[in-house]
Parts: sequence; C-alpha cells; structure tokens
Amino acid sequence: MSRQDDSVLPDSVPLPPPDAVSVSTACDYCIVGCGYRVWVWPEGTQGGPAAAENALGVDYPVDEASGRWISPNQHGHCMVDGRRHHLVVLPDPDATVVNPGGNHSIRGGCLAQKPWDPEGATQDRLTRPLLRVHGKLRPISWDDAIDILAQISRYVLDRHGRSAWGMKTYSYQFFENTWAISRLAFETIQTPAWAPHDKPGPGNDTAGLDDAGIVPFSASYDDWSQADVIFFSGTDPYETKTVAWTEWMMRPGIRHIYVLPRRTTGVAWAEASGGLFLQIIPGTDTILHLALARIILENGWEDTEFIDRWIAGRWEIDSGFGRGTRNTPWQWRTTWGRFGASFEEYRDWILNNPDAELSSAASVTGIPAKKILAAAEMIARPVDGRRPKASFALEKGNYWSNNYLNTASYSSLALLCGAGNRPGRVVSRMGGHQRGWYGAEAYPRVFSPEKQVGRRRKEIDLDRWVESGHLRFAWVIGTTWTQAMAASQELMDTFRRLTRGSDHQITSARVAQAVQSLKRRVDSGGMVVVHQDIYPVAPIGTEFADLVLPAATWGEDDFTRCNGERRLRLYPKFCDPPGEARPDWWIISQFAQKMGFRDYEWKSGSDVFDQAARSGRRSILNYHPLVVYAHRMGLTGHELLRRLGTTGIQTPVRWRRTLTESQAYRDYAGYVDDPSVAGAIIGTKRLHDAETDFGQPEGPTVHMKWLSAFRSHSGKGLLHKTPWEEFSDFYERIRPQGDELWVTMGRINEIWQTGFDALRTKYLRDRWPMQFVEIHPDDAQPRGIETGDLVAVENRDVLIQTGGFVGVEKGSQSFSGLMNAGQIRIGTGRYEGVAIVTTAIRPGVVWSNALNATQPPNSVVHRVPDPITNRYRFKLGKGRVTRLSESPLKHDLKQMSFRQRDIM
Amino acid sequence: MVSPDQSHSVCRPTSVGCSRRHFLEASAAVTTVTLGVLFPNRVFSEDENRSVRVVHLPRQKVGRLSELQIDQPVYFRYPDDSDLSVCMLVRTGERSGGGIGADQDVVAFSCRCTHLGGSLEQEYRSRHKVVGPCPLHLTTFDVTRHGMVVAGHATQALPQILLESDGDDVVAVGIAGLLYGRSRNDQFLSPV
Repeated sequence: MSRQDDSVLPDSVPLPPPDAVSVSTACDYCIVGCGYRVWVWPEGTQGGPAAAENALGVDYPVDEASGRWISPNQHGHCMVDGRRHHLVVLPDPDATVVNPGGNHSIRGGCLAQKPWDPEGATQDRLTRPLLRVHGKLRPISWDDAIDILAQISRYVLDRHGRSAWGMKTYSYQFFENTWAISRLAFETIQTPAWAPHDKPGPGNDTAGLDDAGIVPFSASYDDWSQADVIFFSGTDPYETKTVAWTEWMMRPGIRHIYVLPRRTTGVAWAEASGGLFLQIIPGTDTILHLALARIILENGWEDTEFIDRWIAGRWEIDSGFGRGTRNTPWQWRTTWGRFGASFEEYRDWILNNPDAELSSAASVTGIPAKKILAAAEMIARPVDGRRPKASFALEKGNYWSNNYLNTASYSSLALLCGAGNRPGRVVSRMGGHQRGWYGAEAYPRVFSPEKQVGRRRKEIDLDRWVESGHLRFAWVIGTTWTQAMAASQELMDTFRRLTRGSDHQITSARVAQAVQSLKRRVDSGGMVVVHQDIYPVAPIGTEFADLVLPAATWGEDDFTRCNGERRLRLYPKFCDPPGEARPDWWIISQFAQKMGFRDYEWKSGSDVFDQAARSGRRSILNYHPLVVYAHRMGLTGHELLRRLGTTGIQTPVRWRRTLTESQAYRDYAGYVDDPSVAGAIIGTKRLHDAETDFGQPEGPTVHMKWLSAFRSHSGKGLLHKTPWEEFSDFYERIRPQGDELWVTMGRINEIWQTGFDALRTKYLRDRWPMQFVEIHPDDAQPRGIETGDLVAVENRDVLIQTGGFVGVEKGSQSFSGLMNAGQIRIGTGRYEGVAIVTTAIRPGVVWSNALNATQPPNSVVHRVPDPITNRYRFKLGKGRVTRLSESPLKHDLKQMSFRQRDIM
Repeated sequence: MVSPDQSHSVCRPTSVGCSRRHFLEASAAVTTVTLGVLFPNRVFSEDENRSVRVVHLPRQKVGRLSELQIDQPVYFRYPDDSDLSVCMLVRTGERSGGGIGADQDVVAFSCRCTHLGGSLEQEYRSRHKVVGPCPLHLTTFDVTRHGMVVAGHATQALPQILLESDGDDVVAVGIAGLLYGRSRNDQFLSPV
C-alpha cells in the first residue's frame, strides 16, 4: 500500500486506507435525504488502488455506475480529536432505498467540502460566542454569553411579557434541536412570538391539502414510481429534490405534466417523453385547477368508485362525529360554507362557475386551451376502460403564490381523479428541506395576538409583530430571517432601526453593564437580537445581533430527522465542531438551566432523542416505538438507528407482535425483528393506506386515523370550492403595470438554501458566482439587455400590511378591507443580478434564485399574507428591470455558464 | 512543451482552483523536479525553485486543425485505450476556455460523465455548445467554459484534455480534472 501523503492535485484523490473510520449517514441538504457513507482517516496516510489497499474494497479504476468513484469534490478535510483528517463522503453505494446504488445530486455530492477545516474554505465558521461591544463583535465565554442571554430574557419576560420575547428558528435542523427549541418556546416560556425560517408564523404550509384530509408527506418515493402520469404544480423536482426525480420519477412510461412559468430540465424531459408543459402566468393556478376539474366533470372522467367510497358528503362535512374539531382552523375554513362541498355541490359549483370555463381559463392562465384539455385527458380520461393512475406533486410555486386557494383547488382536482391513498395515485408535497421538526408541545395559539373575524385566535405574523414594535427580544437560530421573508429590504430597515439605531448599545463586555445597556434598549422600544448559527450571517448576525452563538451541525454531533417519505435516520458525529461551537440543544439546555427551568439537564443528543420520543406519539413522525424497542434491546434510540444505516425506518414506527407486512414492504419501510426481544418494529410506507393490514395497535403503537384513512373528521377526503374572489382583489392590485414584469423565483439545483456551504465550495461558486435574472428575449430586447449584463430589478410599489391583528368586522381582514382601513403601506425593494436572456422563461416574467442572500429577490415581494392562512405570496413579486452595465461575467470563461438548462 | 504565456490558454480553472502553477502540476509530475528545470527560462522567477510532482501523461496527436469542421466532433481515446478513456475534440466556433487554434475554439473533453460515468459520446449539442444531457441523469456540460456543469449532478467539471498545436497537429498533452473511474489519471488501463 502506498503510505505517502501526496499534496492533492486536481487530477487525483487520495483513497481511504482499509483502516479508515467509516460511518453511514444521510445528506444534510434537500428533502430527499440520500444515504451517504463517510470515511475519515488521519493526514499522512492513504490507501492504494488495489482492492485490498483501500477501504472501499475495489480496484481502481472503477467502472461506469459503480457508485465508488471519488471525485475531487468528494474528498475534503475535517478535524478529529484536534488533528486534521482526510475525509471522503460518497453516496452510499450499497443503498437500497432513496438513492439505490449511489445516485446523488450535485449538492450532496459535494458534502465533503462542508465540514470545518481550519486550513480550508470553511475556516470562517463561528468558533466562539461573540458580544457586540462598541459596534464590534468580540469573543466572550459561554458562561458570560448564557448569563447575558438569561438576564435580558428574564427582564423582557417580566417587564414586557411573553409576547415580547420571540424566536425565529429553522424548523428542520434535526429532531434533537427542534424538540429542545419547541420545549423552551411553547412548553416552558409559552411565547406566541415564534416563527419558522420560511414563513411569518407557525401553522400549515399547504392548508388546502390539510383541509382535504391529505397529509402533505403521505407518499413514499416508490408510490410515485407506480404512476402513469404525475402532475407537478409549482415544482420541477429535478432542480432540488433531484434524486426523488431521477431515481423514482424519470422513468419510461411515466408521463409528466409541469405547471411552471419557466422551462426547466425536467420540463424538457417531460416534453420529450410524451408529457406536457403548461407555462402558466404566475398566480393563476387556481383557475387552471378549476378548468381541469370542469373538463373532467363535463366528460364524466371523475373516479366515481373512489368518490363514492372516499369523498365526504354533506352530513360528514357538517356534523362529523361530534363537536371535537369544531373550533379548529380546519373547521373555520371548511364550515364557512363558501368552501366545503360534497361531490354534488362541488360539481354544481364548478359547472356553473364562469371562472372554470375553458376559454376564460386559457385567457387568465395564459395556457392554450388545447393544452389544458390535453392535461385533463392525460390525468383522468379512461382508455379502454382503464383509468390512468395519476399522482399529484406540489411545491412552493403552487402554495407560495396563492396559498389557500391553490392548495385547496389542487386537492379537489386530485381527489376527483382518485388520487390520495393508493400506489401510483398519491398526493404529496415534494418538499424543500428535510422533515426535522419534532414538537415538544403545540404552539400556544391562545396567547397569539392575532384573531380571525368571528373565530378564535390564529397564529402570529411575526414580521408584522416586529414592525409594529412589539418584539423586544429575538433569538434567531439558523436563518437569515430578513432575506427569507417578504419585502426584505424594508424588514432590514426595521431591524436596523430597532437594533443599531437605538441609543442604547453595549459599551462594555462586563455582563452587568452589557445587560444594563440592553435593558435600556428594550425599555425604549428597541430590540435585542441573538443570532445562533454556524457562520457569520449578514446582516442578522454581522450587523443586527448583539450576541452571536456558535452552533455545531451535521457530522459534529449525533442527530436524527426524517426525509420526504418520513424516513428516519441517524446523522452521526464523525468530526469535531469548530472551537467552542455546540449543538443547538446544548445551548438551549444551558440557557434553560440558567433561567431555572426544570428538566433540561440533557447529557447528549441521545438523551434528548429518547426523551423527545413521547411527544410525537400522535404525529406522522412518531418514533416512540423505536425507542421502547431499543431500550428492550439494551440500546438507546440512537444506537438502534445507527444499526439501521441509510435505510433507517419510515415513521410512524409501529410495534407488532408478528409482522404481517410483505418482505418487500419491510425492506422498503425498514424494520427490526430482534430474536431477543418480543415482537418487532416496522416503518410505515404510505399514509391513508386502506390496503395494508396494520392489525390492531399493539404495545406502544398508536394508530391514528390517517394511517388507513384520510386525516379528516370522517376519514374521508374533503372537496373544497375555491372562489376566485377570495384572491382577485389582491391579484388585480399587484399585477405588473406599464413596463413592470412579474418577478418570480425558486431554488436552483446547484445551490442549497442560501449557499452557506455551496458558495464556499469553489466548484459551485464558479457555477453561480452571483444572483441572476432570467428574462425572455421579448422583454430583454426593448430594455437593451443582453446575456451577461448586470441588471437591477426595482419595485417602488411593495405592499406591506401594517395592522389587522384582530378582526372584528366581517371583511376587515381581506385585502380590500385592509386597504380601506389604511393598513397597507407602500414600500420599496430592489435587487441586482446578471441577466440571462432565455426563451425558457415566459414573456412578462423574470426568474431569480429565491434564496440568494446578497441580492434577495424577496425585496420586491409584497408583505401581505394570505388572510386565510397568514402565508406570503413569495412567488408574486414585480418590478422594473433596467440594464446597469456589462458584468465582468459576460466574457469570463472561468465562471458562470449562460447556457440554457432545458436542453434535451 | 508550452510557454508560460501559452499555459494560460490551455490551463483551465478546475474545481480545485486554477492557476498557472496548478496547470503545471496537473500536466507535469511522478518524479519531483523544480519548475525551473521543467520549463527552463519559461516560468516566473518566484516559481523557479518550486518543486512539483510530475505525472507523465503521453503526448498524443489527436487531430489536425485544418481538418476540424465547426461543431463536427471527432472522438479519440486518451490517455489510454480503454472504454473509460473516450474523449471528444471539437471546434466550437466561438472562443472557448482552454481553446487552441487561431480562434481559440478547439477544445477536447473526456466523454465520461463525472456524475456516474455515463457515456457522453455522440452527446455534443452544437446549438448550445454543451455536452449532454447525459443519458443516465441528464447532466449537461458547457464546453466553452472548461466543461462546467450547466445543469445536473456532476461534482466535477468534465475533465478537459489539455491541447497544444504542433504546426497543424493537435496534440493532447495532459488532463485537467480527474477522469471518471480513476483515483489518479495515470492509472492506465491498457498500454497506449
């Protein structure tokens, strides 16, 4: 074996020696969560190309699709016990689920570049707590940091109340952390002032789907693979749920329909494979869904057998089985009468609704009538007596343009086609980030300052709460906050005013004096910001925060979470966190103990995981039976999950005396049948599954209704009418005027989230060195814009809701009502990017990377949430696009490709 | 051999960073020599005594400039004769990163996708100047920008074959980037 440690050349990689430490894990990034293997070994050694000389046990070179080739970006460095180590991170070549054989995305494929390397591109990780003294962040001890955090928190809670003490946190970065966060926020402090990273307040993402009784992550990837046709609304999973698409959906025989304003790689594949592209005008999806439903009903293509068995009738909608769910968001929406409908009521409403007429819909949506007709035929028309198996996938292009109406009308369309609870006939979100929220307690809605007219309280809009000056303390964990929310620049101005604009700044690192300054600030109407993250993040951490806390992340502690098919796996520690960085659960525990709160003395993430298990027993992410089973085996929950490797187990986990599920089901969903322990545990492949025999609930197993029926009162799916008037006042107001264009946005395949890792990886940064603006030639030419030019997108008409927390009079919380009451102000927003002139984007629309944190397109997005659900219409920005200059990238052959991405 | 000036035109910025020095390392090294010895009178003075590992890849004539038609790729094998070594030489008709010839538009790339090794032979799309989509998972590569991924999953740009002109001959002299399947480019699969 070669034992020399070569300096790494661009044309070679060191191979892990046979004694390299190896662990299995899952990707840190997108919802799909591919299985990965990690090899770590000390610098100064490496393996050789013969099978016996390397840890992969294969001879190099390896052949096509071997899953064992290591590209230069799959090798990196990390620290182990204070010593620099080599690191190889490869998709698990032995994976049998999610990414069989080692398929992977470009994002996960570069995971080896992620860990902290003090000599590499990640050297700017946060390593110590920092306090802003005289405007500059300087290191302080953990003891002092926690002391300041606790003292100012105690003061704000006592003096200004729980609603003045808030948190804005990721909702996904591992169960151990989110359970600790939710325990603190919802159970112990009981603050209503909490919002997840991607929306202004808690609650459903896709309320229309939930109201239909469909769990947004009910399907397994294998279920999609059995469809004849998949209808994609507002997403091309090729872009950022890549392997779910390339592995389970890009299959011969499955036709794809895409509803997007932008032609992507997935769309190009669909069109070349017998599918359809419905290039929609942003914001008009509801009309499209209505038109499709009408065509189906006019022709009698609906799935009558399914509807008879599975769709709630009037009695089931109104009465259900008692009053138990009366006072819930679900009931507020569905019993208004305007929305909830039996099949007959829905059919009558559609057939008499002029908005659903094909010619009108074609005009509103911008989609040719014949394509709408073709789509209806593809998803519903029986051929030779056989119904097509149609599945329905949606994501943010759908629910972040017209949240309630789009998701509700989409669900109704899907249910008419018989989708929702069978293989090949599923309805689910494709997802963005992984499912990492494990709530210790429900959001304390009773304390929320918001209230719907005639209904009980609803979840807060935290951004409006901040703008109104009510929040005095904000603990921000793992998010940029301002760039991720609508009207970003206006929000940044508010933060700046409340923090750095205050007269009261810390001028001494001594705890007592620092706390005194912060107390004066909150008493004078200002706000204290704490930012907890892995990197310095602008501007929330670098400019607004008074205290910055360094967090440990993926690979630096043992963590767990689920992917988009509820697959629970361990993400184990294999390297050191940087300096004094600690996992978020540890920071929460230190703070809670300092505050005198009980039962926060966790010694490890494993402790947290086992303790958290009980909280989720009624949740789709329930893993409690796994922990019970593990304890009977003499293991911790983490230890048992470690044995399950990249297969893991699909939640909810069930304990059974004897497994009756087929071997194929067991192998897919994951199971443990240990001869030394009574019974076995098994995962759950699909929810709403009436076909699988789940038996009676046994041992610690909890059977929820949604396991074998829909998640509704009656166990049936619910149809909803979706009157366009609920949205049209806002839509008419925000449509681009004059030379304005729609500004819409999304994720781009090569970059995960804000690029906090990707943009530190030269390979990925070279691909997308800056924000970009895709614009159609018809729009570019009159503005003198060529590919490679630097352009500005400016909106001087950004609508911002300023009040309307409590609704008293009917109609007062609609957009028109808010306008009439003077509760909409007009702000501005602007961002820049390099132009890509392309026919891939619809004329009249520009498209940018939604999550670019340097030039956030959310700046030109209105901050008026959907009044039904408090969700922003992120995808419906607008602006004037002007050429600024030629960008240096125009003639640079080393960075940024301007080629079309829809080449087939 | 190339002069330092020319080295820029055949150097490509790889995923791990490009500099003249990287190019020299990539196209040079198995014995250790100084740059001054390797390229007498043709390196910057501060690099004269820098040692580099030299991997000797064969020099191989792969085409004639005068015979290359725009957008008509020709295929060859480099650095050895195996299936994993199929490469494409193409005149793109526009200035291309690492291009040689009067218009700097003659470039060559490995035809194995750096995602999972799919064959990109016959996958040049002249209209777009890309290679791909790869038949396996649809990755595309921009041949005017050093094989950068346009869209897709590859974790490295398509390895670019370093070219020199010798009169009318196009000569492959090295590889920037790691060929799919290998841990080093000098793992020859069969004698050349």
